[in-house]
Amino acid sequence: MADLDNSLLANALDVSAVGTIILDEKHDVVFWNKWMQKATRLPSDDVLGRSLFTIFQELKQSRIHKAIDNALSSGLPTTLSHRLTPTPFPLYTASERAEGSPRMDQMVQIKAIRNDDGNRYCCIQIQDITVTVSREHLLRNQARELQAAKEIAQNANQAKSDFLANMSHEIRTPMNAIIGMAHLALKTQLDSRQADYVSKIHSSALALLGIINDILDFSKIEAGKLTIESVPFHLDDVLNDVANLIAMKAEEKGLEVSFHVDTGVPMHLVGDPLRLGQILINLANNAVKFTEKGNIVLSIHLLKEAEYQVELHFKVQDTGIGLTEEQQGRLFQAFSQADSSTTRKFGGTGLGLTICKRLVEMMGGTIWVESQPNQGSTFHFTSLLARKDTSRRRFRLPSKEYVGVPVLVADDNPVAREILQKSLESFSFQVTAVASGEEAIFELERAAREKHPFKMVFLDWKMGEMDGVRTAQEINRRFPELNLPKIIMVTAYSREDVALAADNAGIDVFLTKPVNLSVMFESVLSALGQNTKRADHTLPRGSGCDLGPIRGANILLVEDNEINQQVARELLEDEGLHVHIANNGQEAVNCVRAHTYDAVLMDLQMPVMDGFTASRTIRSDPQFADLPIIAMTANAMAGDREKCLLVGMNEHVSKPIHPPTLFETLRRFIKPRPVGDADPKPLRTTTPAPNLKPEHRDDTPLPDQLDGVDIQVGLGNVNGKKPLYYKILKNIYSGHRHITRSIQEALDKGDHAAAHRLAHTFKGMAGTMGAKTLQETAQRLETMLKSNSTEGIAELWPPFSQEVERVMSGLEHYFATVIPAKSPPRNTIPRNMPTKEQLQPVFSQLRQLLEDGDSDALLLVAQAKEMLSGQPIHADLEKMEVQIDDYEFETAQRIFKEITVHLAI
Amino acid sequence: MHGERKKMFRLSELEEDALKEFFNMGLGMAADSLSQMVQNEVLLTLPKLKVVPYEEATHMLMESQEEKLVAVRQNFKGELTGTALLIFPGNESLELVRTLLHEDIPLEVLTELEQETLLDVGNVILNAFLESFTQMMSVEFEFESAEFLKGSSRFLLDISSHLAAQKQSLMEGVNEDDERAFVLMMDFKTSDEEDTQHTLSGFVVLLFSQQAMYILKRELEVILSNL
Repeated sequence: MADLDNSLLANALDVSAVGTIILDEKHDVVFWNKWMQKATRLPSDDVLGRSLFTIFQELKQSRIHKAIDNALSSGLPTTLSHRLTPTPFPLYTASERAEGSPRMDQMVQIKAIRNDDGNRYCCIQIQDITVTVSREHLLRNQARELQAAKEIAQNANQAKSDFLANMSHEIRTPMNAIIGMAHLALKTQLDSRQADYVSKIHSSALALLGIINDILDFSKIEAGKLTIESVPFHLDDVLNDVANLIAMKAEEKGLEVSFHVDTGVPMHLVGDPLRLGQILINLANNAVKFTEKGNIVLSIHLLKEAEYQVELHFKVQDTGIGLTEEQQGRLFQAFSQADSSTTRKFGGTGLGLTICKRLVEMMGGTIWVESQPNQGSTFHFTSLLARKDTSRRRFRLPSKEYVGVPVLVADDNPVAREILQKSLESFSFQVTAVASGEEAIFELERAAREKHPFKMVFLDWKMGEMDGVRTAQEINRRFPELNLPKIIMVTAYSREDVALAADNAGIDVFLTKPVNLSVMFESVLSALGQNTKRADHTLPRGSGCDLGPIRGANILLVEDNEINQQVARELLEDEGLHVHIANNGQEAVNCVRAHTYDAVLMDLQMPVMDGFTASRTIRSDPQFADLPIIAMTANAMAGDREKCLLVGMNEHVSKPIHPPTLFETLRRFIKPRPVGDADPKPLRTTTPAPNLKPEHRDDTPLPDQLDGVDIQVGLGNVNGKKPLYYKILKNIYSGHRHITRSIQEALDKGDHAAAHRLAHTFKGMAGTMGAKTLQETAQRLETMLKSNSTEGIAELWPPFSQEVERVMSGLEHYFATVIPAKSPPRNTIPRNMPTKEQLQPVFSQLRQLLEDGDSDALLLVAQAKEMLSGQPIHADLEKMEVQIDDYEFETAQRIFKEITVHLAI
Repeated sequence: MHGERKKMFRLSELEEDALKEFFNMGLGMAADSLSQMVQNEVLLTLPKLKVVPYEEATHMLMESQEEKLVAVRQNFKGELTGTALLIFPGNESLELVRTLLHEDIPLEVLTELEQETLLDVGNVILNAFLESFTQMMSVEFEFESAEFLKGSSRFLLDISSHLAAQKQSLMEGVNEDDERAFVLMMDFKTSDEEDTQHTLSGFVVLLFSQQAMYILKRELEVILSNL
């Protein structure tokens, strides 16, 4: 230190990269380094000995001033930051600045120092931080821009979600109308062409809804709003739904679909059956889509089993086009498809597998694929599911005597054969499996010789040389009745096709592939003579839910859209429920206060008062605490259900209305009323004159069999509704018994158009009742008549009239014997002109039905015809009947008027 | 001297109160200057004051904060030698600076200028404490410039880093065990335009040698006896 003289130190300070000023106690500048000279453009001579605050007047009373005083008085140092020093030293920076100002951004440090005598001086050091400030300014601007961009993106995303929710609502409202109206239209009497059109509208609308649902699901997944339910379910029900949805498509392509569930797999589970079904349906649909010929096997194995939980391994295997490794890699990505070229053969949104993947992951599993091009693909996924109970045994034979019963299986498809064999073995039967009809006969004869005959034979319909039907006929021919095994026909084709082909082949039971284990088990028991409710399962699924206990319940339907009102009302009324309509939430609240309802179906978005507010209002009154309120909404976005439950609603069903779900939900929430419990405040019901309708009871006695008619098919056509089917049979019998004569008469008069119309109508009705042959003969006749010629009538007429004769005599027998009490009291009808009093009730009912456009009018016309047979007015009644039959209700009403005038009623 | 040192160093309740009073006065002034600087009301309060050995101070800090901390350090020398540290929890210091400067852009790190600002603020606050000492005591101080530090609580309190800075002025033969620390908890409250109050907590740690503590106690006794 001693070697350093003052000039050396001053030189060092001159070359340092910080500005340095030293002030004495009076604020006079005693040192001003080179850096300061450059930055202030003031030479030392101009400043030395002068007060800092006369040099820079603006610094008086600034932070810098205070800091200098602080240092001089108490020795405390101060660091003055750029941002918090509004009045810095007026310095020039060396570099040009973007903003044009040459001011230097600075950081100032002010400290106290002492000389040898102990006198305090103030040392000021200034750093040029202009570059740093510019850089950070830039950085902040960028950050601000990024922030803005992020906000725009977030807003856009929110807008997208809102848009989807809105569009979902907007799309679902008309979809509900299309699907609902098509559903209702299909229940009316349509001719086969109309039925074909409407059912195609129906299925296309459902397909479109599927796509919309996929898009919604995907957006929910993106938003992390997809939820998995946890409810008890039966695995077989899920498989049943899968079978129902894919069987038809598979059949069209001639593919064999088999289900195989390992013996150890428990059936009573807890999880999300809809989502599980969604995955399986998606995979199975893909399998059908990408397979031209061969098999599709859906199998379920048990991976792990704990007391309350199981891990299941699901497999969907096809023999289709398969996937390359590269395609497999892209498979589970959104919007990606194996073949994304514009010439691709297979359509689709490409969202299905992405959704599956996410759903599987949410169910605690993984999904993967094994595949080779042109060899087929196998999609695997696992799932963790809770068990409802620990019972293992799914199918218990009713008695020990059936254990080990010998059973024969004949199927030429090895995969299907093996699965059938395993399933039957899981019921504890002793199974022999063969690959053809010939082998089956051989085995049956061998077993009979060995005095160990088969009790049941399962025959595939389509087998090489000797198909199932021929095999069955052969078995019937060869075996005496006593030793005849029960014959069960298994087919991938629709029942009616087989039933037609297998007429008189002596088949006991039909099973449709893919065979559902529960259905098979029940069929087997029924074949063995055990009483089961087999019919319930072999029927096409109708409403899927027995509404018996809640029939007659009063429902308040709150809905602003008129079409949707109609759809919901007719669906509910068809099930025997009384419907009252409120157009908005306010009306709903008023209605609830004025009447007694068993349940409220509540739309959410409505004018005047929305569904949420209405529900809250209703719930705020303690007397409605238990009134079931079910939200019915086109908003199928996540969170809807939660919102509904939050305002006190009981459940949420989404539009378009899926009738089974709606009915099931109503069933769940409406308390069945005790019989005879009169409604304290009866409602005006929208059902027209219900007391005039024929008794609608589910116990309507239907014939066990009708010649030429497949009752199961017929019942299936009317959604399993027995009363309706009864009505149709009645209609056909009373209105068309003399169809051959009517057509003949029209032809005799040369009125081809009338003849054609008669044949056309009759054909439709024959189809509806399930009289396949009758329908076909009528169809041929119709086609001929349409071309306005009678060429070939000689060939067509006899089979037609024979078939009419066959079916009508069957019906005659049925109506005569089975329900004489319900048919009009034929014997008491006077042959002479009945009195006005006698005619009055019939005609007033008839007027009402004609006004309503109800084809039940035909029943009453038939009754009137009976009463007035032999009277001249009879011809007019027949004319009216024709009009009603053609749904020309206006014309029919006109004729009716003439008749009443004539009869003076 | 040796015997005295064995006794636990304690400030009487009265002495502690007096000290707290001095600090609070200083803090009030600091809050005033800060409020002027940021043109926004800033409140500084000192809810807790503790005299603990160095080890305990370390524990207290480590318990409350695991993550990275930032701190402003100011050493002082002379008759009374020690280190003053203002410690902010890492993220809260960020928030403090941004509330003070009305910055609304969230960046994950303190920028250079923000560090500088925090240094400025810390300096103002620490000066308030140090000024309380200079005003109440007859002893002479020398102060070093404030520094900005960043690191774990262990790193910030690492005695040797402070010792290194003070090596020359420390008495020979003083063991690290003898280091004493005041741990002062303090709250910063700032309110923004919407009158929402932002409350942040920080620690002020004053590290003294044993000897310095005795000087401090002596000075306090003098002051109290003069009242």
